[in-house]
Amino acid sequence: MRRARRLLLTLLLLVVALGPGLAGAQQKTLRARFIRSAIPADPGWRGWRLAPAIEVQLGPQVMAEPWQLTPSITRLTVKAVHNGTWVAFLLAWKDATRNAAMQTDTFRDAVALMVPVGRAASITMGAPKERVLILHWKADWQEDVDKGFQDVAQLYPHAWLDWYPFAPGEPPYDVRGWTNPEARRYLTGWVLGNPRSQPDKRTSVEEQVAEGYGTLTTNERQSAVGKGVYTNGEWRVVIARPFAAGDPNDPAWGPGKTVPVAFAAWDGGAGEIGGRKSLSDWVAVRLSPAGR
Amino acid sequence: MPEVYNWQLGRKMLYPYEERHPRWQFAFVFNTNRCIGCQTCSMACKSTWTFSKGQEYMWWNNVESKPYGGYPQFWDVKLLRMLDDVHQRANVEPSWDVAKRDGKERPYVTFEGLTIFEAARKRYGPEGHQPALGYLPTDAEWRAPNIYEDTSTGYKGGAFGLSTTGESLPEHKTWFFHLQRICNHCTYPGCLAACPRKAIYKRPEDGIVLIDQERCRGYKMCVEGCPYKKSMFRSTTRVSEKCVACYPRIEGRDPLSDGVPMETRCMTACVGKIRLQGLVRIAEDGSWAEDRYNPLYYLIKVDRVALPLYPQFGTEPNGFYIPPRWVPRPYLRQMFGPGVDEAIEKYVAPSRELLAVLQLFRTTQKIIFRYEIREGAKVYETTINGKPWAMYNDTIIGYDKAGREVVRVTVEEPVYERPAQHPNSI
Repeated sequence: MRRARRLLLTLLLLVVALGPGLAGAQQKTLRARFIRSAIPADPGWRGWRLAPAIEVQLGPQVMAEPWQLTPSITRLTVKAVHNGTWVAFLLAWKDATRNAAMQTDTFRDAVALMVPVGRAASITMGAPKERVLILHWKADWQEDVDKGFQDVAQLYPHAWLDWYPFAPGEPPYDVRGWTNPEARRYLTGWVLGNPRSQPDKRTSVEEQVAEGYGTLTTNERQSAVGKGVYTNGEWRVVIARPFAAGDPNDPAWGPGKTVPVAFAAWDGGAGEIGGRKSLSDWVAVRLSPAGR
Repeated sequence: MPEVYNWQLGRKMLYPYEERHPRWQFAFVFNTNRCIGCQTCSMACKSTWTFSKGQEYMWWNNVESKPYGGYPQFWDVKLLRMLDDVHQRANVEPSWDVAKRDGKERPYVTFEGLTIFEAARKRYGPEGHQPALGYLPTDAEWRAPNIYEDTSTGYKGGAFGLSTTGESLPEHKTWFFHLQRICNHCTYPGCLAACPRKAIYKRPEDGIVLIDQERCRGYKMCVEGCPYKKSMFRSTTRVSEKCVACYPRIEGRDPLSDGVPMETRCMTACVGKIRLQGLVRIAEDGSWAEDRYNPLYYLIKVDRVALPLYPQFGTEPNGFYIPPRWVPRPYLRQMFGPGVDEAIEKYVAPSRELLAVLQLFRTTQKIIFRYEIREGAKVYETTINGKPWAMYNDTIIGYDKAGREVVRVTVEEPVYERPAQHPNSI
């Protein structure tokens, strides 16, 4: 009886897991039009109005632990354009709360898109020898770019410490000024080059590569840019990247080609991070030939 | 999911990774009976590792007053309640089968309940499938590391909640005790199991568990998955950090160490002499290799006077505690498992060897790998719990990894009596 119940549950979960896959199969192709101008990394750019949109369904993540059975974000509105050398995506979704801080118990909103590096890859964040490129926009990085590094003084306005050993300057000792190695040594993630720990953020989009669950790694070269704006309960995020950045992890995409792209979203307010996310199946993106 | 052997539970259990064991294991014994709660250990750690920005709230070493204190607040009660919920829903009794007790690989009994890894498999609800049952503490729960310091339980009917006869053993009626906590560098770490990035690793040379600061993505799943809440998120680097077991000292790379392994900062700073830390040799099958005169091996495996903290969580922690002898036994059994009664009995009337080994606590910064006892004269006789007990002034000698003598102490401390006319002269 117990075993039968477990089998039933497994089947049910399988249906849930394949749900977005089935929905994805019915989704329309996204047309990425060619435009002659430069593409500003700005969700408010007027050119976006003319670009065709599709609705992308997002489902629960139940393949790698920890699961997210009841994800918060279930639908993205996606647009794409390209100008022959750059491709840009506009991702928009409803989110009742804007979460951009990473405190000990808070999480930030985020969105990502995934493209196979080769011709095709498994939807499971790739697989061995089926590498995927992931472009991951993070609200906390956006905050760093827009307002300067979100230090203790910003995250905890009431906190105060008179002195930190080795730290130069005056309270509140903005860590961007910690240029001496004695102080920097104790900001371990920073000194080891972890992109999360860099106080001087240049972009809100992190380029990553993966060959299956647990293999996600920051790409050695970072070519993507982006910008996210939150207004009226909605995030609008642009993620843009050159088709070819002279990178071995450049996807096989370009004008005139159709490539599979998958999407994922995180609601920081619901504690979503890592595998706790909602995700889509592959969506075909038809990139118009250059000049048309 | 692979099955691994957990000697503290006396059985195999589920764990996300196959069994692989280090050659040596970082381990320690804390004698809760002697702790004065001075927090010198906490400050030694803080001034070495966590004085920088974003680490303000971090105490890799903390001392909390039980039963009410906790850092983060109520960490153990919260997890025990979560475990209890799963046991009730799964209709499983978290009992210990005493009949199955058998030797050093099953010293306590067999645990029939669910570990944090097994309990996680029983939860298919919307809260999501986790590798290890756990929760993420709130910011507020980290804020008062020494909340309820020295707060004792109340006694019903007594004035001010105190009992006039409360101090009589075996159990005080109003009680509290200090619980000293660092990372347990578990054999089957909950943090490591919970990390989807494989950014946490256990070192093959000494079993120390570390978070790779370059690979960590700051998901805080290790904070959620560590039952002892010894992984902590750092807002200034947006990745998690944890106790590093002062590994440069353990490696013998500290300039003071003379090339041999040395105890951590929190251990060597201990004023109350409650701490002894070392390395135990691990056999290929993961069991503790026979090492009769290693003080940790003796205290934990031979005499069984020191017990793991919440062994039922299933991570096989490598921190061991001599339980406080005045505290109600049901509370202690919940915290240290079913070996509590035997451990207290042994501690209250220590054997000649135990009494000698207890003298080694906090006598040298070097890790003691072996001890030797030279017998001395009988200096005292009495009865304890109705049984005759004698004290001998034995000498105990400790040796470092290179086999050099690093300490020599006697059971009786040397006494010097000042002439009466100079009681306060300096």
